[in-house]
Amino acid sequence: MGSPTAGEEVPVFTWKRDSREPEIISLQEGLTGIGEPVAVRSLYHPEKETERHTVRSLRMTFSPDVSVCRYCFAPYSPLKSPSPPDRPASLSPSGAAGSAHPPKEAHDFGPLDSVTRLKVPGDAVKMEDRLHYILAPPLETLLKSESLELPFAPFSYQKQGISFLFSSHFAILADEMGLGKTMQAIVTIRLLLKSGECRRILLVCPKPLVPNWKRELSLWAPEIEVEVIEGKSARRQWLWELSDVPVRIANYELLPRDREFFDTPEFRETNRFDLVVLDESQRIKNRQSITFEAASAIPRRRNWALTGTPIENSSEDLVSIFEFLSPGYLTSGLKPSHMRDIVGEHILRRLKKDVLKDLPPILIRNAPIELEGEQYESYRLAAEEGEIRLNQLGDSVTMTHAFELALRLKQICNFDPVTGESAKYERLAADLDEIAQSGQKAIVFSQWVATHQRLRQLLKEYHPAEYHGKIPTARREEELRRFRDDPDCSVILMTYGAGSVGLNLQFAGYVFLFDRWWNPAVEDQAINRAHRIGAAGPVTVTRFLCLDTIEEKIDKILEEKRLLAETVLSGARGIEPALGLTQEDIFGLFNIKIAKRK
Amino acid sequence: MAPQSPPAEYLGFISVTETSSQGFLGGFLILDRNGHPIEFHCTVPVHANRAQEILYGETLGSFLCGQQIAPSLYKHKKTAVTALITDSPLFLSFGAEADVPFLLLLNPMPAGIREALPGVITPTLSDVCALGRVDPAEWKEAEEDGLRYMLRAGDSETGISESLRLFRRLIDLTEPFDRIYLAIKESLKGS
Repeated sequence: MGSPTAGEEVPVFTWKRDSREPEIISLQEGLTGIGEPVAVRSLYHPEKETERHTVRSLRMTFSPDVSVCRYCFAPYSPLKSPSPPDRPASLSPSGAAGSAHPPKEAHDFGPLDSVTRLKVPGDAVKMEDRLHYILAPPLETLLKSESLELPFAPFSYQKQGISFLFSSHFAILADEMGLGKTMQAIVTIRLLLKSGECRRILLVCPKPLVPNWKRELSLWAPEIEVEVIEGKSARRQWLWELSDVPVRIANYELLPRDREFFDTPEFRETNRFDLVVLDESQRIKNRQSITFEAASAIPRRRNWALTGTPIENSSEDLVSIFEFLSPGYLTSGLKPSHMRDIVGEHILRRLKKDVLKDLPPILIRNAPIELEGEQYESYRLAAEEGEIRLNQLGDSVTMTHAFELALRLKQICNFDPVTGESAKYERLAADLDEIAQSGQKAIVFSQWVATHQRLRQLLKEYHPAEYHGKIPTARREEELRRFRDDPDCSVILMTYGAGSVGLNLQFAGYVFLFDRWWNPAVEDQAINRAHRIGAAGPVTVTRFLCLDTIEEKIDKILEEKRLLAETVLSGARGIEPALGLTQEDIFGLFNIKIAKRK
Repeated sequence: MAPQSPPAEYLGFISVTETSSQGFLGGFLILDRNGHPIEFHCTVPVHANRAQEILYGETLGSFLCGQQIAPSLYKHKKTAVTALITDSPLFLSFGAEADVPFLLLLNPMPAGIREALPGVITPTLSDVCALGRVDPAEWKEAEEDGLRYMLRAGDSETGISESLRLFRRLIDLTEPFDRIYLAIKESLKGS
């Protein structure tokens, strides 16, 4: 479009709120191959402009009357970019000619950051769609609206997270544990429901976290009706299809069983979800699992994943999550740096140290424990005999054999199986006594329920609460309440599996890792039950470590893997992450003199 | 004379951006009282040729904005607005003739005034009218809960005050100008 000169009629571009095209979600049509160029006409100047995109996803479509790709996730970059305008500050009454105040340099737009603006999604290509976000009121205005009162003022980084999610059709909110992913998701859901952009929303989370989501929803969005999909088959089917409930919660375990209810043409036609949110989305990291397949079959328009550990074992975890969010968008085998370039726009990750300068400090210390007496003898015998047996197995030794021995030795480090002696318990009891005396609370994590059952007996005087697989789901909330409210209850016993995600225990100042998990990300999750927003004071984490045992070897491996995780998530090049213990790691724990390992 | 203001429903925000290479770009945003956009209009870049620069001299900006850009933008609106608000004195000549109350925000001082009157902390009505090439006798100053603005002498302050109060419950009246600016910038990218 040419520039008119003074005196000519000035052409005007018009945007109206109702002029946006309806969402175009029909996928898998009009496809070209990934990596191929495709020409796209701009709606703004259809007669002139032709843009070139590279097909980067199979989720791409062309609508005949729109002629613009909505799912080509390449940034919208015109072939020839006009110069950006200068700051409005250059407005001078004297006009363009002879101004005493020449226009400032391009991009000198000054601070516009006193408000949180909605993010323009990278896949919004049409001008109308982009203006929809640019012209929207800032988040602060939206939140000030009468019906959107919040119990607490969000932090600035949380508002940015809400802005990110609000305009994202597929995204991972990967904030470090404890930064309030749940709250950010709920407030965004509230805004989407309020604005009419969403009407049917599904939250999927691990079963133990369902009460947590209900509680958080009632806190941050009390007006939203929520249904939990549970009960007998007929009732669940009814709940899946129920039309007038804006938010429903399902657990991962349920998805494969209920797939027959939602993976049907009729459901897709009439009950498709406007938004599906996967909490703790590392649960779908295995693309061969029935959970992944069932989750991927949920009919939906947009989806988010929430996880503090998007890469738990390897970068393949991230590929899996993206395979759910946008099939074909991210492929296996890419270098970490390339992967980061592709997904960067769709992942928001913040670390506590970056955004919560005033979060109380966390002190992580290893507590070296020396096994003594009967416990030491039991360990020595088991270790020696175990290695002998592994070597006797020769070529038939498998990872399972080695893993079983590792588990056995770790258990002996906790308690002597014969006498019940425990050097770790002695240390824990001493620490707990001081903690209880000062009115503080502590969380004790272990891998095993059996360990907690012993501890429960030994720690009776502290009235321990319990939260693990042997505690029925219905009783867990009561145990949490008791731990929080009962001044006599100084400690809660948790397994990594049940208690490492989604719980808010920021009133606990002490965390004990009675034994170590196999993956540092899971340990971090456990620690962050206490070290999160709202923590009243410093959090002290004590990791028990029996000297000259398998625990010391595992600790060394975990530390190395923790470093790797930090490297990949910060985008460093050339390192393929593998955070969990590999087969080589497990075999490496023992002195096995065989060449061939299975 | 503008009619008495009806109860506030929509406010129109009009602004302009100048680029060194392309000239002036005007933007007009209509918001409801929750700050939601109803309409947005923006012009293509408008520039003066050398002859016009000589002919209009220092009044060129006021001519382009007040007589060319603003009428073009306003003509395209589909939604009736309660009042028009600007952050640029260059629109005052248009505002003098507008069919709804017209306000120029003074506090915080718009960049156009700040740069044209360097060192001036509180510009007088005469100063600002001189920038917009309008008669100071036809304008007056008003203040509403910390917000300073000028409006036409014949417009009812009471009616305007009620409108502003309703809108300011949720929106900062200077914020929509940032949206206009960002949207103009985006429209340039697409052109």
